[in-house]
Formats: sequence, C-alpha cells, structure tokens
Amino acid sequence: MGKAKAVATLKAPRRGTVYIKVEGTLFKGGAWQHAAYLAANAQRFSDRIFKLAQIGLSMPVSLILGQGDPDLANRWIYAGLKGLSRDRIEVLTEEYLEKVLKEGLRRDAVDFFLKLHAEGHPLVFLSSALDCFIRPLLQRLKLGEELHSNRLEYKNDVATGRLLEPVMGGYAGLQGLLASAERSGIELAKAYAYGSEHGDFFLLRAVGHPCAVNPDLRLLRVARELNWPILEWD
Amino acid sequence: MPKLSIHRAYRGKHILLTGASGFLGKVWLSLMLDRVPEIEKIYVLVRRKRDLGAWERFEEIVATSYAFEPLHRRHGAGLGAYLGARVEVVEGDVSLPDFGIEASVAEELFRKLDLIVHCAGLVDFEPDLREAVATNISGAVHAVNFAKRCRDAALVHVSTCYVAGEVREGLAPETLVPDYTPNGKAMNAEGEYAALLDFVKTASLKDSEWVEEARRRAASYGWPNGYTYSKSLAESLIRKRAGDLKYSVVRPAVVESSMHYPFPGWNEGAQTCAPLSYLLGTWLRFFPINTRHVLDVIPVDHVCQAVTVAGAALMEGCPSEVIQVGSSQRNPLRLDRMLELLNLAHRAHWRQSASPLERIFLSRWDSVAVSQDSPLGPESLRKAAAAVFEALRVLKERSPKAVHDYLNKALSSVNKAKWALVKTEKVVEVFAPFIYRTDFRFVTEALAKYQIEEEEFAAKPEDIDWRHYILRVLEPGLRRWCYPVLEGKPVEKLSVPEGFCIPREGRSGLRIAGRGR
Repeated sequence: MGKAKAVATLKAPRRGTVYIKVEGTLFKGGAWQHAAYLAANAQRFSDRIFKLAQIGLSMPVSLILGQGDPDLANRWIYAGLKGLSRDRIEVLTEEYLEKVLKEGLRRDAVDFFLKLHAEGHPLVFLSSALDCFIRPLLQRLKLGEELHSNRLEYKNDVATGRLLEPVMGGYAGLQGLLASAERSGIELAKAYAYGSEHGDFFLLRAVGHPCAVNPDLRLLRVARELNWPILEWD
Repeated sequence: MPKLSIHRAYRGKHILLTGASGFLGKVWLSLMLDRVPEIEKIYVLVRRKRDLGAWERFEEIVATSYAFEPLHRRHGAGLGAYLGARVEVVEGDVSLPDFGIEASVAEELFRKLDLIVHCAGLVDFEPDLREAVATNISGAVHAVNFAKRCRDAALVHVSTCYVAGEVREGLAPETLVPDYTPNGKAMNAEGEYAALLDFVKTASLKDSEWVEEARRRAASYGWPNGYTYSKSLAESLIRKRAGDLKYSVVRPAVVESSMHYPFPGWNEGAQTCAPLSYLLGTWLRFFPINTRHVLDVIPVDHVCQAVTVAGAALMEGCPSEVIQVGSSQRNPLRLDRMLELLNLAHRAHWRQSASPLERIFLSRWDSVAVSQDSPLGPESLRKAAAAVFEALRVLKERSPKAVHDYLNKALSSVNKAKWALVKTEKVVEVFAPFIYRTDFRFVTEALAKYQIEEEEFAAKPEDIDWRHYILRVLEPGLRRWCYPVLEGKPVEKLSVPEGFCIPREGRSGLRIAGRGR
C-alpha cells in the first residue's frame, strides 16, 4: 500500500479500539528529547553535562544490549534524571509541552484522531515518555484520557532515576497492556494501531490493522515487507 | 473548639488601628472595610508627615496604594463617601504616650473603643536602636496603656514569630514567657526598658553605632537582630503591664505577597524575601543557604485573617494569648525547594526578555546553595574582586598612558562588581540567621482551634501550594512591587480619578482641631 498524504485520503477505520503510540505519531520527537530537555536544564552545569551524556548513551546501549527492545533504553534515559526535583521536572515539562504544541505537533494526526474520537472510537494512547508530559498534552488536544505512559519514582520529591512499573515503551509493558485488553474483551484482530518507530513494531504486529506513521528507516522497511499502510503526516 | 463568626463579632464595633500605613496594616484595613462592613467605625491612627496632615496622608494612601484596589473597584466614585461613613482618621504617633492624640479625642476613644489593633512597628531587621525603642517597645507600652484607659477595649498586638530567637531544636512554642531571652541569660524586661530609655536619652553615638548597639544588645541575649529583640521585649512588657486587659499577641512569620486579598501577589517595600529573591535572579550563582532548613513564609492576607480572628476571639470572650501565624508546622517550605522554585520563577521571567543575553544565558543561570564559608560565596568573590581591582591599579601605574583608557574601564567594571558583592554580602549577613544558621519552625495550634463560620477568614497554611504560590504569586509580586524599590526605580501606584477625597463634614466630635482642610 502506498503513502497517504492527507487525512482526507485516509479511510477511517471501522469502529474498533485504536492504539496510538504518541511519540512520532502525534508530534515529532520522542521520549529522549523530553528527557534531554530536562537534563540540559538541571540546576548545576556539571549535572547538565553528565545527564546529557548519560541520555545520549541510551541509543548505543539499546542497540548493543537491548536487541531491539526499547525497554532498556527507556530505563537508561530516565536514570539520567536522577536527582532532579519534582518541581523542576514538572515546570520544565510545562515549558517543553508549550514548545511541542508550538513547533512539533503533527496537525494532520491530531485532526485525524480528533475525528475518530468524535465518532466514538475508543482511543488508547501509549507512550514511553513521562505521564506529566503526555497527559496534559492529550488534555490540551482534547483527545481522550486513556493513556499508558511512564511515571518517574520520587523520593522526598526528588527523582530516583527509576520508573514505576509497568514501564511502557518496551516489550514487557506492551505485553501486559495487550493481555489486559484481551481479558477485558477487546479483540486485537479488530483493533487499529499507529506507530512511528521500530520500537513500535510489537504493538503494530499485535493488532489486525497496523499503520506506520512517518516511520523511521527500520520500521519503514518492515512496513513495506509486511504491506502495512504507511502515512506521512505533517 | 470555639465557634466564631467574624461578622457577628465585629458588628457595631469601634476599632482603633495603628500602623495603617504599613504593609500589613493597609491590607487589614482594606480587608475589613471590604469584607466586614458591619463595623461601626474604624479609627485610623496616622502620623503627620512633614507638611502633610493625617487626613491628607490617609487620603493619599487610599488613593495610591493597590491594597485598596478592591474597594475602589467595588465603590468607584462612591468610595470617598463609603470611607467617610466608616473611617475616622486620628492624628497621632505611637511613640508618644496616649499615642500623642489630642486629649478630647482620646477621651472619646476611651469611651467608644472595643478593640485596638496595634500593627505599628519598625520591621527593619537592623534598626537604629532609638527607632526600635520608640516604635516597637514604647509603641507597645503606649498601646497597653491606651487600651487600659478604655472603658472596655481589648488589644491585638502584632509581633513576630522570630521573637523566639535562635532556638536550634524543635518547634518554637506558642507561649508568651515574660522576661524571655533565647539564650537563657537573665533579663528583667522593665529594667531593660528603663535602661534603654535612659541610654537613648543620654548616649551620643553616630547613626551606624546606634544600629550596632541594637545588634550588640540583641546578640547578648540570643536574638539574631535588633528587630526581634525589640519585639520580644515589647511582648514581655505587654504581659507585665496588661493587668486585667484582654489582649492577644499575633505573631506572623515572614509576611509575604498576598494569596488572594487584595489580589494575588500584592506586596510592598523590600523588607522580607525581596532582597534574597532579587539576588537569586542575578548573575550571582552561589548563595549561602542551608537547604535542609525551613523558611516560614506566610501570605499577608493569611496574617490579616489571623489578626481578625484574634480580635473576634477577644470580643467574643475566647481569646488566645498568643497566635502564631506561619507555615512551618503544617506545610513546611524547605529552603532547597524555595531556591529551586525561585530559580524556576526567574527562569520563566528571563525567558521572556528581549535581551538575548538574559533570554539565553541568565534564564539558565540557576543559583546553587553553598555553605557559608564556601570559596564560591559572595565574601570570597568580593575578596577576589578587590584583589583584581588592586592588580589592575598597579598595572595601570606601571603601564604606558596609551592603555590607560582600557584599564580605567576595566577598573570601573571591577569596582562596580566589588560594590555589588559588598551589598550582597550585607544581605547575606542580615538574612543568615533565617536562611543559614537556624531552622526556625513554629507551633501554630492556636488559630486552628477556632471554628470560623466565614470560610474567607479561615486561614489554612496547609492548603498553600508552594509551587503555585512562588511561581505565580510571590515572585511575580516581588518583581512588580518590590524589585523596583531595590533598584531605586519608581513603584507603580494606583491611579484614581482626580479629586478623590473622603468627606469629613457633619461627623462625630472626633475632629482634631485645626487639622481639617
């Protein structure tokens, strides 16, 4: 199937649960950009350098040790936020959210999912980014409330660098979510999913109607091989 | 739990307010006029200032201070008439016996008053001893004496939580111990007061020496500064002289920008957190703060609510001798969090700056806490600046005239930086007891025991969301109302229609002869 350029040309799915990986689909960029923004604005200059370096290492670490499962990379990224206060993380996240809304939003995607939402499709958003970033984003876009994202662990309002379970964005977190969906009667074969990174492969493969949105090179290759629809949204 | 209705307690009452030109006094007066119109009359003690009489001064305060903005909004052109019916300005001075009020006026007040709210006070942390004695100590003594001469008036005296002095462990109790000294050194308040009056009358010192003398006396008993020493001594004297007088001492902690009334963020002057917050928004990066300690900040409108409750409790017969108003017991704000939030507040401001230097660099220039003896602290930086200045001076002496212009510019810049650091060091020194040396925390049980019928008077420090307060209320308020004072710039004033005046015709006999326009 070829590329669909605009919302109007995309056939709306039949009623069914729609899984949407937020990063890359709704906006440009991923969880690591958000984490890097936080790290680059730590209180101390030395922290900024070390935290950015740690987050930067998440990519090769994931490739070498993660064997394609982004779970390790996610944990590694957020370990870089250890020592940041809840206040700093949440205030900087508000700033970052404004930046994303201003510069990074894929308007076509928002319009498309708003339409689905208005038509009564159950939308389930998945994200490996932090809840404090994605939830207000969805609220601002009026895109429903079912969100599975990551939450940082805090001790005395200081980030420990660990994520609370279940960690989303990796294979294990997704498996848990899909198993729970099936238990509650959702037929994955009739469900739709939208993702943009190779890490979203497991999600897309699990549903009956996968769709790659502005895919990265690895996902593009897989999508072509498996004949999944590929969308290029602005 | 005593139940109190503010409206019921104040209905038909006559109240005398001192300190109406101060930050707290103005907000309290405005709040009462706006929210408790049942009060029969509020007599406002105002001191003549140069050629401005008490009435004119009061009119100017009401016309220009944003504390009265809600009243202007509610009454518009009718505010003058509204105030004319509810407020009587009395010329006087708290440092004088009977507040210096003309005898006939004072006699009428003795007959009519139900409550005296004594807000007047010098809030300078490092006061001249003469002024501290006259305003903070003698002012309180005169307030007690005045209240005792009234037929049936109670007294609310506004003090400070920091009378506790440098208590190092646990919560400072909500009690008034006569002759109290923080370090336990014996002191007789009456004897100390007499000695002070005598010293002030006879000693001949330079201005700076009067400040030093206040600091020396305070330190000898364990108070961090002359302000807390004078306020504590005043409390002891009230207790000793009160006799049958019904009184309540309201002790606020660090009184800061309003949460709600007159509007979020209202502040005035530059006495409390303003210098600290201001410095954190500059290029100064390392600041001596003990991050584990708590800074007890409380919005001014919370304090006004507490003063109102204290007065109501006195008039309804269920008073508390001491009411502490602070946040450290119920909702402590640690200094590391305060520093973090102020950094973020400054960041938000500088991110909007038109200057790329401020927008890109200063917005990311967060202050960091260091120990008081850190080589990165203001003292070391000042010494380094002085050394650089000296080196440049020597270099200039030994270099050809061709480079003198450049060296002069460099010398001027370094000198400017050095003096800025001297000022910073001074601020750090003044605030050191509160932000570094002592972990001040205060019991605040008395206020919580009252069940207030009117929710708007039930101050709840535990409900303060510090992030919201510092980012959206405190720092923007300081930036608008206090930083201009520190920078020597004019502060925004309320603009009311020309010709605003409070009518004074056909009123009670409380006219001060020769004072009317």
